Amino acid sequence: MSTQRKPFHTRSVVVALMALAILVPSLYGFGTKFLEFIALYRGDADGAFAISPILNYLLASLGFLFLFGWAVMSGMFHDIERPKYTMLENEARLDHSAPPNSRGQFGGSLGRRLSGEADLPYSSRFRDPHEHD
Amino acid sequence: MIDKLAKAEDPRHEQLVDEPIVVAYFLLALGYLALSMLAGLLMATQLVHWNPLNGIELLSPGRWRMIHTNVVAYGFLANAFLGALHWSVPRLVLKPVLDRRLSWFILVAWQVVLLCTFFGIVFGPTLQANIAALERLPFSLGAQGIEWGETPTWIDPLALAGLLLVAVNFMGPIVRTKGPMYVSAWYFIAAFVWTFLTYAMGNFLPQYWLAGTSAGAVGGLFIHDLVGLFVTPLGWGLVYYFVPILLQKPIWSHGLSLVGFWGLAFFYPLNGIHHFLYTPIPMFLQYGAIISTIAVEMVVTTVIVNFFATIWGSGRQLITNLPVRWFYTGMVFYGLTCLQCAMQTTLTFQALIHFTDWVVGHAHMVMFGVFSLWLLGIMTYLFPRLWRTEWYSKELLEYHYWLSSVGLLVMAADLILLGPFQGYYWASLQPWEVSVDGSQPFWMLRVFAGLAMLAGQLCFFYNIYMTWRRSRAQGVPVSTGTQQAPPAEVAPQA
Repeated sequence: MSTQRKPFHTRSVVVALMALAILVPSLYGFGTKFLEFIALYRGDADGAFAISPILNYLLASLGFLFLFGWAVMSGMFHDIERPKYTMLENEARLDHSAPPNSRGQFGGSLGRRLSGEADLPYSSRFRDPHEHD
Repeated sequence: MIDKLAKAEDPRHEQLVDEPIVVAYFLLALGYLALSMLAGLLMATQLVHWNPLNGIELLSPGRWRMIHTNVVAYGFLANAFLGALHWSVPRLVLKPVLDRRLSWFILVAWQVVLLCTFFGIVFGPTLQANIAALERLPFSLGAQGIEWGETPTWIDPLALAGLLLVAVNFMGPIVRTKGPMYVSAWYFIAAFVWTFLTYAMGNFLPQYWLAGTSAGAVGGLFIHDLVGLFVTPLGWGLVYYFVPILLQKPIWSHGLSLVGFWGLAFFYPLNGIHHFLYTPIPMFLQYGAIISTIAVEMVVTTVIVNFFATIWGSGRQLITNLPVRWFYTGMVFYGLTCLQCAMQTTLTFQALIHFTDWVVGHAHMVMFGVFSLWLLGIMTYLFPRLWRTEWYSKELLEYHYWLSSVGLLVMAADLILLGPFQGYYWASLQPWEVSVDGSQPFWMLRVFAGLAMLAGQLCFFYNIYMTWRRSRAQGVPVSTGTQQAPPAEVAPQA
């Protein structure tokens, strides 16, 4: 496994820039249109057409808005990079306990990596040494 | 020393994954893939006047076109996704599905839904026209008049109940997970909720409550939500799970993956009306769909950037690791199809390509070029693990990959190129037959591209059969998901 990575702050900046560059204009365009829908529903004779997409959107998205709020409040994003290591650590444990002939032929099995790195804690084997979060 | 790393309370693979159900779903999915491709071939030969079954009502291309689309969506994709989920969800959250018996019940019930759909589409109209008792039924035995929702109305409630059970069975272990969730789990949760809501919206609202252009608008939402809210979150969830495992390194940025997920959650649901631009649906709705579609395409770039940043420095895996190649080929097609989508939803572009084969090429690139390729990559990775033996032939695997991907590339390029030709034929107000004649060379090439893709799948089927025979000869056991870990093998806490 390659552990040589760019420093983490570079990655954070890239992620933040992409989030801003993509989400802000998207949110602006989308939000403006959605408000227009609501205005049309209230003021236009044909506005009844706007009801079904608005309801559909609210039905699909309102729940996710609450879910997002719950995720923020319950600390799901505190250590935002942690789950990607936890997932690989769990895979390594599961593959390590599996019979050798069940680990496939494409190098996807992580269990065999344990043999060479047995003294390291799991997170050390997957975590970027430059990463601080 | 190694054993000290495993904790005594750690679950073992055998306790989590019911391997026979994964195999069963995959084999069923591949059977439906073969059926769907044969139906597509029938339609393709009809267009070039080579249909050898012409005049047989039950094999009429009009009915088999619906078999082609429905079987690939609900037969191949749904079964393959369920198989992959039965592997990945328990391993991801370290908990088995809610109830293993429920899993098998769902498997059987879903095949009943599919067989009823097949029966209804192929035999329903004929039976109802010829049997007086059936003619008096207050509903149609045949296809429902909704694109991608042709599942007969009488089977819709059962299909919806099946989707609810799927959600319950998989959400049970996911919601009991403690701590921050990996992005795949977010995608899976979204898919289970959205698929249920999308199916209900698309199959019931236009059938029982809405009419005219309102029903058309909801139909448009349904078509696109089926791709974006059922297939896409499951596909991305699985790719986010399998790619880091295969590359043996974590995804480049988990934060960026969550930007993609929440962007999809909030921008996607209004997209669908872009299927009906220039129709009597009010223009403000059409404009709204265009804007939100472009917003989604921008969000999608975060996902693609993330995966290519992940493989950066491990590019050789694209040559040496076949499942990785399947996944990244699908991602290239995904990037292309999303770029295409952002262009084709503009009114300027739509004026040319609306109703043309451009859209058919786009649909094939999405459904086969992206999601089918990912699922075939997952199967390529998992069959040797499930059967505890290596593939019978790596050469046949290569044939499978190249025939599938090049065949799809040729088919999609051919149809996408044909689209503007047809658009210009129609815009020049020449007789309809002129556009049909002009389409013939493209349609002929499409037949051969389809045959290449079918040949690729036949290589895969033969390879699977021979691999299974090899595993039987070796007498390897499989996990049923119920075994208890032998106490002697459970290591003490470090």
